[in-house]
This record gives sequence, C-alpha cells and structure tokens, in this order.
Amino acid sequence: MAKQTLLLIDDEKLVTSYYKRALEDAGFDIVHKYGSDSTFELIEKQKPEIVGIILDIMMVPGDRYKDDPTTEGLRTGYFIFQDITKIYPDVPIIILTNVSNIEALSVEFGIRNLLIVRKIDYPPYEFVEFLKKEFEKFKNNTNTH
Amino acid sequence: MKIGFKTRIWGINIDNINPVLKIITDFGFQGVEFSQRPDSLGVNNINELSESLKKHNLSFLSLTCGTLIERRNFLRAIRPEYFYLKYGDLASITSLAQEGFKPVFHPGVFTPIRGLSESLPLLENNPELNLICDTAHMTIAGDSFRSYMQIIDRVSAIHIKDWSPEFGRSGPRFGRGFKKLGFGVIDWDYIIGEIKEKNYEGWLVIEIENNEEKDLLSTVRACAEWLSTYGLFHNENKYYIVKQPIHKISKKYYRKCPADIEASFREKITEASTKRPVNFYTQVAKAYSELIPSKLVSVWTFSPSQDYLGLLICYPPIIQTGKLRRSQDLLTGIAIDRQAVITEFDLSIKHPGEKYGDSREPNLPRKIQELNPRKMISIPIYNSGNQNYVKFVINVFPKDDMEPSISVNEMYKLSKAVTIAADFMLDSVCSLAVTKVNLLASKHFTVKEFLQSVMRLVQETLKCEGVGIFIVNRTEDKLEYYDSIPGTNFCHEDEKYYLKGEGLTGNVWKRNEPLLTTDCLEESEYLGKSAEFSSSPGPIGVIMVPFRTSKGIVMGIIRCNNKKSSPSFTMPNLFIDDDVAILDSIGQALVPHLQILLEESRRAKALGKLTHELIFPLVAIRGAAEFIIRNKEINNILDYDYPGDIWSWSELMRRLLGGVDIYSYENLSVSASRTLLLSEVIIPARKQVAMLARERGFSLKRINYHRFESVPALWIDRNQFQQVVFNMLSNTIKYCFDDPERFQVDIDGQKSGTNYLIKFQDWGPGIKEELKETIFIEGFRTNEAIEHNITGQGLGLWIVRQIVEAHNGTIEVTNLKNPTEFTIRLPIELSIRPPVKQESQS
Repeated sequence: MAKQTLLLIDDEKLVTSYYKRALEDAGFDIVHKYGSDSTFELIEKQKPEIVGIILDIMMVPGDRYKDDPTTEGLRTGYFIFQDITKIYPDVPIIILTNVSNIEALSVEFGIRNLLIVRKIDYPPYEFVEFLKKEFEKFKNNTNTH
Repeated sequence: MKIGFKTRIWGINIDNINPVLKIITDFGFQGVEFSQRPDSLGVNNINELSESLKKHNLSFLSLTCGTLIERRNFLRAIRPEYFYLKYGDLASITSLAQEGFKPVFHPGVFTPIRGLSESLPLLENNPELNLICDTAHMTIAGDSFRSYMQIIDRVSAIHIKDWSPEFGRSGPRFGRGFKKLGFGVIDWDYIIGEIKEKNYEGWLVIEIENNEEKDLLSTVRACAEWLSTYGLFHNENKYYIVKQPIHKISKKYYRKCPADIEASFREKITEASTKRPVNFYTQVAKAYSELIPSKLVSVWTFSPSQDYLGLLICYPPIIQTGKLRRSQDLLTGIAIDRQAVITEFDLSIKHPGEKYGDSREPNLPRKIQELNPRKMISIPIYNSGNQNYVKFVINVFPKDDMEPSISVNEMYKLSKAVTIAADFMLDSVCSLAVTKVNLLASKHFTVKEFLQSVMRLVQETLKCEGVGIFIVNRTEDKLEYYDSIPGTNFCHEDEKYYLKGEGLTGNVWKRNEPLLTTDCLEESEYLGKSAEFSSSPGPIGVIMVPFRTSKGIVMGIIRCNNKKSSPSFTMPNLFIDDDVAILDSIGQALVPHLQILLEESRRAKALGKLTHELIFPLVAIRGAAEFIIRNKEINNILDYDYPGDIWSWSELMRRLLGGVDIYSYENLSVSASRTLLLSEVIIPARKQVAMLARERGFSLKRINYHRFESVPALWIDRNQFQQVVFNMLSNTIKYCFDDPERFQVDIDGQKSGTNYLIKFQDWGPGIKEELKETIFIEGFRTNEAIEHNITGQGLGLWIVRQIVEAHNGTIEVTNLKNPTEFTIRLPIELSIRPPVKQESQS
C-alpha cells in the first residue's frame, strides 16, 4: 500500500523535527515546510495528495499574513486554517499547538469538535497513536455517511 | 500673620451682633468674616456695624452672603479686607476695583471653577483679582498647598478648614466631610509649617462648617485651643461665660405656623426621606402645596458646579420639566444668589433688573402665566454640610386668596427639616448602592463580570440608558474604554481611549471633577473628540463621574447617558447633583475591589505568559526523552532508569504548569472524552508522582488501587482528572513527613445511587474537623504545612475542587483520620454524555 502523506505546518524547528520523525517511524510520508509562505508555495505548485493536515497556531505571519490581525503571530494558524480548508475541503485537520486554553481556541475557530491537541500533553509517539485512532474514526464516519 | 474667624450663622436673623463679636475678640481673633446676609446681621446700617467692630477691635474681613448688588449697596461707606465675587459676578471685577474694593474669587466645589489650574487664567487676565485659598476645597480639587504658596502674593486669605473624604466629593455630599480642625485628612503640620516658614503676612481665617460643636462659644474655644497647639495663639481665656443669648430671634419676624399644620408637614417630609430622589422631590412639592395652599409648587434642582437650574418637579404636574441656565434675571436664580427665602414677591409689578421666566423655555412661563399667579415664594434648601451651597429651590405660587401666614424664620425652620430629609434620602440611596457594590464584589471574581454588574447597578439606580466604564491605563497616558452595558451603542471605534483633556471625557479625567450636561452637543469641549455619543438622536444628557484611588488620583470614569423618563419626571436628560453623589459613592466603593481584581488579572496574565514560556522548552524535553525511552539500545547500556527519571520530572513540571493554567483561567473548560478511570487516569497519575515518592523513600507499591469494576468509561477530561489524582497523591506524599511507614494510599471506585464515587484513603496526619471545608479554599495552607516547610501555594485541593465541579461533581472529606478519606462524587450521566456546563451559582 502506498504511503499516506500528511501535511505538517509548524515553524518550531526542533520540536517539529521530533514529531516529524515519530510520524515517519509510523509509516507516514510528511510534507513539511517551515512557515506559511513556503508551505503555500509548495502546495500551490505541487498540490500534493494528502490524507491529513497537522497545523500549529502560533507562527510567524510571513509575507502572506503580514497585514492580517494575527496578533503578532499568535493567531496565524487561524488564517492558515481558513485558506487551507479552501484548498483541501475534505481533508481532516488536527491542531497541534502550545496554546493552553483549548476551549477558547475552538470558540475562535467557530467549529465544534475541531480536534485540538496540546503538544505538552502529547509527546511525539503518543501523538502518533492518538492520530491513528482519530484517522480510523474519521474513516469509519466517512464510510458510514 | 493675622488670624480671623468666620461666622457661620447663615439663615438666622440675629438681633444683636455685639455678643458674637465679643466672643470672637475675647478669644484673641483679630478679624471677622461674616457668612451672613447684610439684612440679617442685626445692625441697621453699615455705620452700626463699623462701630461695633471698632469697639471690639476687630478688622472687617468680608461679607459672604447676599447678591453682589445687596453687598455693594450695604458696604457704601466701608471697604472690607476683600470682596467676594461669585462665578456669575466675574464681569464686575474692574468696576469694583475702581470703587476701592479688593475683589477675590473662591475656587470651590460649588462653582464651575474648582481648582487652581482653572483659576490661574483668571488671575492672569485680571490683575485686580486675588484668590481665597480654602484648604478643604483645595484638597477636594486635588491641588497642593505648595502651588498656592507659589502665588501667595495673590492670596487674600487662607481659609483654615479640615475635611475628610468619607462622604465623597460630589456636590450634595462633600460638605458633610467638613471636620473639626485636626480630625480630617489635611496635613496641618505641613501647611502651618509652610505658613510660618514663608512668614506669610496675610489673613488666616478659621472657618468651621460642621455641626459638631453645640454653639458659637464652644466652636470659637475649640478653634483657639487648636491654634494654640501650633503656637499660633496664646490666649488663655478658656473659661468664658456667655451672659447674653446670641440667637435671640426677633419677634417682629416671627409668626408661628399652626401646630397641626407644622406636624403634618414634618411627617410628610420624613416619609418622603425614605423614597428615591424623584419621588422624594414630588412628595416635598406636595407637602409644601399643603403647607401653603397654592396654585403650583415647583422644585428646581441647582447644580452649582455646572451652574444650571433644572426644573425637576411641578405639583400638580402641569408643565414639562426642563433646564435653565442660572441667571440673575430669573427669580429662582436670585433666591439662590441671595441664599434667602424670597417671600411674597409680587409678580404683577415689574421689578427693575429682574424678570420672570426665561425666553429659552417659552412653555414654562406661558403655562404658569395661565394660572395667573399673583405672588411667589422662593425657598432655597441649602446643603447641610456647606451652607454656601443651595441644593434645590422650592417655588410656591400661593392661591390668590391666600395670605402667607408663615414668616421667613418659620420657613427657614421648616426648610431645615427638608435639608435633613434630603440628606437622609441621599444617604440611604448611596449607602444601599455601596452595599450592593460590596455584595457584587463578593460574587464576581473577574474584572469584567464585576464591572458589568456594577454598570447594571448604576443603570438601575440612576434609571438611565447607557452606562460605560473607562479605566486609566498603567502608564497613565490614556483613559481606555473598558466596557459598557451591551446594546447601548456606547463607544465608537475612535473613542476607545481619550487623552488627558481630550473631549468631554478626557476633560473629566484632566479636571478630576464630575460633569453633568443635559446636552453634550452644547458643550464647547464636545468637539474635541469626533464622535462622543453622536449616534444617538436628539439631545444627549450625560453624566460622568471619576472614581479615584485613596490618593485622590483618577483611576477611571463612569459615564452614563440619557436618563429615562417617568410619569412625574418627563425631562429625559436631566441628570442632577444627586446622581453625581450616587455615582461618587459607587465609584468610591468599587475602587478597592477593582484594584485587587485588576492586580490579580495582571498577575494571572503575567503568570500565564511565564507558563507559556516554560511550556515551550518542556515540550522539547519531553519529545527528546520519549525518543530515548523508546530506544532499547540506549536503555540497555544504562544501569539505572535515568530516562524514566527525566520523564517523571517532566510529568511533574507538566502538572505544575497545568495547575498554573487552571489558576490563570477564569472559567475552567472541560474537553471531555470517554475515559477509563483506572488505566487512563489513575495508573498514569501514579507514574507521574513516582519522582516525588522516590525522593522521600516511599514505595509506589504503597499506592494501592482497586479494580473499579463498577465504574464504566466516563465522559471526563483525561488530563484534568490526571491532575486531580496527581494532586491528591502528591498531597499525601508531602504530608507524610518523610516517614515511609506511614505512607499508604488506597484508591477505590464504586457506584452509589446516582453517583460514581472515587475514594482516596491515607494514613497521614489527618484533617482537623474545623478545616474540613477550609482546605479547599484557594491559597489555604495548614499550619503544619507552614511549620514543616512543605512546599506549595495552597492551590492543590482548590484545583481538584474546580475540576470536579466543572464535571458537575463534588469532593469532600468523608473521614478525618486513620484513614483520612476524600470522596469524589461524579454524576452517573457522565457514563452517557459529557458534563453539561451549569450556570454560575452567583
């Protein structure tokens, strides 16, 4: 079976490399660029086929979002979310972040049941296990609908 | 320096001035200033007064009461040390100076010019004008004595008066704070020290405006004694005996009101004092209409600080209430200026210089004229604390066949009852509001919630539409919009903050004084900010009152707009000085609570930020540790589980940071998923405390858990419940005082009725009966914890309770000792669905 590809959008270099490695160990292919500008450049050029998106919230706005009210990058992920769901409307998204007040975050996104996970609660390998379970659920849900 | 005394016997016509002067001179005072109208001094003309003063060797300082014309006419032959100009008289400075008078202005709470900063331009433009420095008014205005000393050559006299802020700074109530010398907040050591050091040569005038001393003699004596403590007085004549009565009331003015009518009037007034302001004034008008059978009684409120008269109530209610600028052309304005009852004013005669009504209010005179009144009685009701300040005026238009049977003195006597009733009424409203603010503070723990509830209180008490709150920022360069009652369309985008002196709001901040206006568009400062209230149609009545720190510095402003109408109160925009007093009290009450809440929220924000900074490296450490733990090769070469230790420490830190997170969030949010208590909560949490246990030589094996067979997977927040178990276990570990033998914990889960129970038992030192509840209070630490140096912030059990309650459960101590038992009860519904957020109990 062909490897499943995940899009990882996060600009914390070291920590992201841990998660990336854990995901690769679990057999995923990872498409990843640091920062929003290079990520969108890659997507728009290649439009890779992906099965899931892992998105951070606090990121440098880059050129793409420099004029948006990202509160100095604290909310950049929110704007990426808006754009990326237009490009990949049916791909599940997991928010993987350091933001601690998850409820406030989901209110801001205005989406109920959005999967939001704190990095502090899910170190890389635990996150992978969690992700697999959630993908399984997602697949079952889509199949039954 | 020369020391004078200011009499305060306003409102009473005295027969003979000599006994008054004798007391003042016998105690060693060198001059006298009269708070008395010329016609009530007990002299027939100025020459008699002059003779009496000469006989008692007293300088004539000034005459405070009466209109400018009255005083000018009376003083033809004599020039006092200074001549008072009221706010409306400032145009006469030059002509008075040409006549040889020395005009002075008294900046004060009862004029639109309250502070030194507003008075200085007056001095610059009018070289003939001097000021009175009143120590009490100076303090209320927030000015320093040092600034007055810098212009001391332009100060004609220093009024020595003490004040305390207990009744606030609003017009109707500040005067109640006037105190016996030495009993207020004024720093006399500094002021008297400066006066002596600078060799001040002008007049010090002792002015006592409280009712603490029973008569003039004891007042003068107390002042002389106080002055002698500062070495300013050396008069030993302390055993003076009054031989002559001072306030003998002249028979010629006196006609007694029939006893039953008077009793009935007093009863009505007393009853009115239990009402709210609008009803109070209506009742008062009604009581007067029964006292003097009349065609109409109207009540005019006077806002001296804004210099406007507002028609509050008409009884019977034949005309719309409204507002008039105070004017000496207007009869009511004259009553205020004269500070005297004007009786039997014959309306059919054209009085020179005085006209009836006001062309800007065409409805008002026409409607009254239709009643065809022949006479009018104008009764000013003065402020009990400050008798220079008329609080409101009652105008009575007697029936044609009615010859007023009540004399001026009688009217004064009855108006005193009204003054007291008005004070009582306002005191009740203010103290109720203060109690409510304190109650709200005990119910609300966030700045936003607290201020929202305070604003609703303001809206309800003042009966106004919009209420908003502005707070001075930390750097004190902006007055920032904080919040308003939702839906009142209160703040425009460009009004999110005001600079000092910008717009009406910024000027209230700058002046540290309230503002009342019946239409803010009319105010010249309005244009300073583009859109203050511009979205509302029609005139916008606004009241703004600053609230201040204990040092008198503006902390913020409460701003309200558009007073609502009521059947007897049809002018929707007429805020009155009583409203200022109410807001002043509310502001004064909310400040200490607000300071604590703001500080807490700032600290929580800082803590939140720090937590966030710490989370970042911890995520990296945990990520790296996880790799090492999973790498068998590395683990094989280690003789001890060092990676396990790193992991445990990181878990400990995660828990600590989690605790801070909870502490910094005002509403704990639950992110529930189906979770097995034993495998997903208890076992991981037990691992998390491993380091704490190991450090004290405790074995994890002594943490026993049962099988939880009767508890299914529950909809709970896995992380939060790990925190619960972690806190419970780490408490037990901490309180076993390093004794491995005493350490044992049993955890059991069971179903009981409509609850699932989780029980924690330990054999530690136990809990005292009286602390059973207290231990769950935020920040509480036992004496043992402090004695044994056990680390912690007293948050552990508080956090546990927050989490359990957020899941609609409870936690309590169910056994005090051997074993100590805590029981968590969770509702059975959690096996079916996530916890439903319950409304806050408050």
